[in-house]
Amino acid sequence: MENSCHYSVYVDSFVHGELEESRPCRDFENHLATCNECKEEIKAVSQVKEALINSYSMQLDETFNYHVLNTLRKGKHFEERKEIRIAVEDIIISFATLLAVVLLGIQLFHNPKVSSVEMAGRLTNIEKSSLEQSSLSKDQVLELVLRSK
Amino acid sequence: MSKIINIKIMTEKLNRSTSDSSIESKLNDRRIKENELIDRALERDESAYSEIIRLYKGKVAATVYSILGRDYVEEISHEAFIRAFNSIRNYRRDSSFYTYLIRITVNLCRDEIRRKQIKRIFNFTEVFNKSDDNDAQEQIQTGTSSDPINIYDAGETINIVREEMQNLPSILRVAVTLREIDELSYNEIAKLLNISVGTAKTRVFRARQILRDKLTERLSYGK
Repeated sequence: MENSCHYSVYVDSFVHGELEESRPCRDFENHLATCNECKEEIKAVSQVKEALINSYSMQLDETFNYHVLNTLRKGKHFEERKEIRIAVEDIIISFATLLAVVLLGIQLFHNPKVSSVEMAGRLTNIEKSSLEQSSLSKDQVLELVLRSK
Repeated sequence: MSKIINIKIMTEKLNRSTSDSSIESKLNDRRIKENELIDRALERDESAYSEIIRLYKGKVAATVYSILGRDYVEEISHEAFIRAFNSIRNYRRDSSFYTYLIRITVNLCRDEIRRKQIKRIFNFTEVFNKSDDNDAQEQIQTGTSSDPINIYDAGETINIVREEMQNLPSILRVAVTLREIDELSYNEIAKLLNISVGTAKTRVFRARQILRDKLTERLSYGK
């Protein structure tokens, strides 16, 4: 049966506690004192709501919590934060290494006073024999010598 | 007459609940508590996850039960929590975490409906299966029903509601579940289902009307 009362638009909100202390709520409460149609409507809406809640009321026990948390643990969900910290440390170390290499390169290749040829002339006999005996290339040895001097 | 709830008592109860000035502060408290839990969950505090599960598992289970049926409750509820937690960094707090969780649950249910093409033809062996019957009996024995005069009717009503809900088209079933079981507002339902508020209201009203008519018809027939 259709409710023809124009206040019936408030029934649903009223039953679900959405009108609270608003003006429409007070008006509607006053209206209920005289309107049987709206009272019946409230009763019907409440009955369906209550029937649905009772029909599907269900509690999952503690093993459910355990299973959910265990799945998260297996997926290393709780270790994510630790992994993020390690990743940040790795990035910082990589950046520092790169910076050191770049600075070293700048120092090596932008020193016009010393060339490889000039350095070769400055090698001592001991250094020359080390060069011959070592598996290092000439440039690598020169670089070491340059850094040591 | 035994089926009719005393309107005076009920109206007084509703008035008390709606005029209670603490409603808003309770909601705020709930939101604050939820925000604290989310902050802790973002810090990967395991006890916060446990608390969130404890708070919402009943609602999630009821939603799955209502939309898909009892057989799917554990599996879908479990998946819903896992997905919500795994994507917790994407949760933007523009709605409550509860709504976010229900959205994931409903989407999983809809996927399941599509995937398995669940037939809405519900036979009596499913409706009156042992476990469901036990539920109804348990509620009768523990006096969950608010009206002690309707002790017999409570169990009967539960069976009818479960059966008629499964006979509803899924779009109506989902809408009425979100409104009556999950207690979402029409705005939230509209946003969640990506429909207009008007359409959300129409679906809920239609579902409610069908359930109401079927309950009246079948309970009167059973008398």
